[in-house]
Amino acid sequence: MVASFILNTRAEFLKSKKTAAFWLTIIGAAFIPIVHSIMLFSRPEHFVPIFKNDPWNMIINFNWKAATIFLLPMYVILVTSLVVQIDYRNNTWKQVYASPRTIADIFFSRFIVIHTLILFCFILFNVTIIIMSCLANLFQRQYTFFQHPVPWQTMLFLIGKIYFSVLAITAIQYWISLRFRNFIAPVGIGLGLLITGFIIHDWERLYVYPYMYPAISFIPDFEKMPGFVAKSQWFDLAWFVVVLLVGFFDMVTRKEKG
Amino acid sequence: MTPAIIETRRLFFEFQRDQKILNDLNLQVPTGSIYGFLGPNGAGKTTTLRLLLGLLKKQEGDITLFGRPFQSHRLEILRRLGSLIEQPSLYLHLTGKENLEVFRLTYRCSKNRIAEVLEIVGLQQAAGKKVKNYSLGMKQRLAIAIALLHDPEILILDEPTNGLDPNGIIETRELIKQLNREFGKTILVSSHLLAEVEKMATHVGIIHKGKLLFQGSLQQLQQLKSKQSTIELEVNDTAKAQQVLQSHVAIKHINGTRLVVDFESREQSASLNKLLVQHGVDVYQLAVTQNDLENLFVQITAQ
Repeated sequence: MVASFILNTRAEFLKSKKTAAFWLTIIGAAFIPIVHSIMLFSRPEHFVPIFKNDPWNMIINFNWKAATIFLLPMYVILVTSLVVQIDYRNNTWKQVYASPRTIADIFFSRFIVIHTLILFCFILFNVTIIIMSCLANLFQRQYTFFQHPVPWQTMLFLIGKIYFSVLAITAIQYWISLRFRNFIAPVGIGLGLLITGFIIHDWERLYVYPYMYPAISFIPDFEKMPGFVAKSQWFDLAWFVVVLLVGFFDMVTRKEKG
Repeated sequence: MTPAIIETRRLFFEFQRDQKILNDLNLQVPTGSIYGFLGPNGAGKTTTLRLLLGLLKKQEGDITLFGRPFQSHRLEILRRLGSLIEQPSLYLHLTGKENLEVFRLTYRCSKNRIAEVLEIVGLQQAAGKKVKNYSLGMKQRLAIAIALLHDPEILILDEPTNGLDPNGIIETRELIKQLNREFGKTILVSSHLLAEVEKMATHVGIIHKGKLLFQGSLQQLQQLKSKQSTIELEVNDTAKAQQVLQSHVAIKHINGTRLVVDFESREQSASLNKLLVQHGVDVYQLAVTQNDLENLFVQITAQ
């Protein structure tokens, strides 16, 4: 049982090879750090004083700030739909359902692929930050990146925190993507829900709204409200578990498969 | 009779209330046969095959494969059968070999098997090419290779020659026969072309509006067909022709300048012609009606 689940998950990874989901992950991860390093490179007179004392934490914050609020949830929405689309576009769901796999296997192996891509994107994002900052420093010697150690722990902690904040979105988007045969619907719904989040951003109960969890987990303002972040994390977890189970139940009971 | 490897009993299905897609379908596919599942588009062929694979939720009736009920033995049954439903299901961005690898992992068969099935379907040369560059015929063959990967006992192929050029049709047909003959596979193949089924099947089931009109061996079908064959004569004077022929053959009906009579043999056709000419009736045309699927339906339902 476990062995065939691992093999089928490997098959799911093979399917996503060289797909739009895969390229989006790589390009999405590299884009913001590259733009920032160009900024560092082209305007040293402005950035050298700012980055003097704590260059690494500054650049890490710069990058995450640009990403977390809008681009990151958008990436999660897109990558989830793209991975599910692989089988819709190729008309292969029926072959998947007609192969000797349990529904749990089909449902969760793909979800693992989505999460691996997201984690890979986060790690690549940080690696690109380090590489691009070092490159900028090579060309503009006034920067002090080489004089300071890379704060690995901070990076890992941020990756963990932000990853946790997108759990609810992944479950919701996964379910929506499985329900719709076309690509536009889940992306459109996701984008709509994300924008709704921006509109209601000063609602005192924003912690119940999944699409704002990345922002809540990153923007320091939310820390000032007692218990707000912790509540959002509990709700995040609850959304994740409940929607994932609902999505799974929906797949099991679907009358027409593939 | 050999025991049925695929069997449905009193199978009913409807997508909407009171619109029966399948109406009391009792399918019996004998072990080792090539079973031609024949019917016009929309007769319920694909619905039946999708039910057999669990792609549709069963509503009423029993489905057994290998003598076991499908619902309680889904994984075990799916492990022993290969399928191709409607157009080929392939990952276009992957190569032929990678497509096979995806399913090889699922079916847990050895790596050598990929080369073996590529050889069976004759795709060794194209294995490294991306599937999006394949012709339809090649895609179809790759899909059959996937269905064969785990060396299944049953193959379920839904209209495998649909959309292929004449050459592709012949190749696919030969492949199906070879798989049956050399590898002993039971093959359930659907088609809407009677001529197509006659060229490869050992057994035939004819479905129309969700009901099985005929089920039996190919010989039985052919007997039925010849019994139902007719001669159509176009003459200048139908009244006179009727008079002349009446005592020699049963006249089925008259339609304008045409008479339709029962077909018995080639010799009889010639003598009927002679008789008419001798009595001064001009014969413009004499033809044995080709029994296409539509005619066969009309005749079977008229029975």
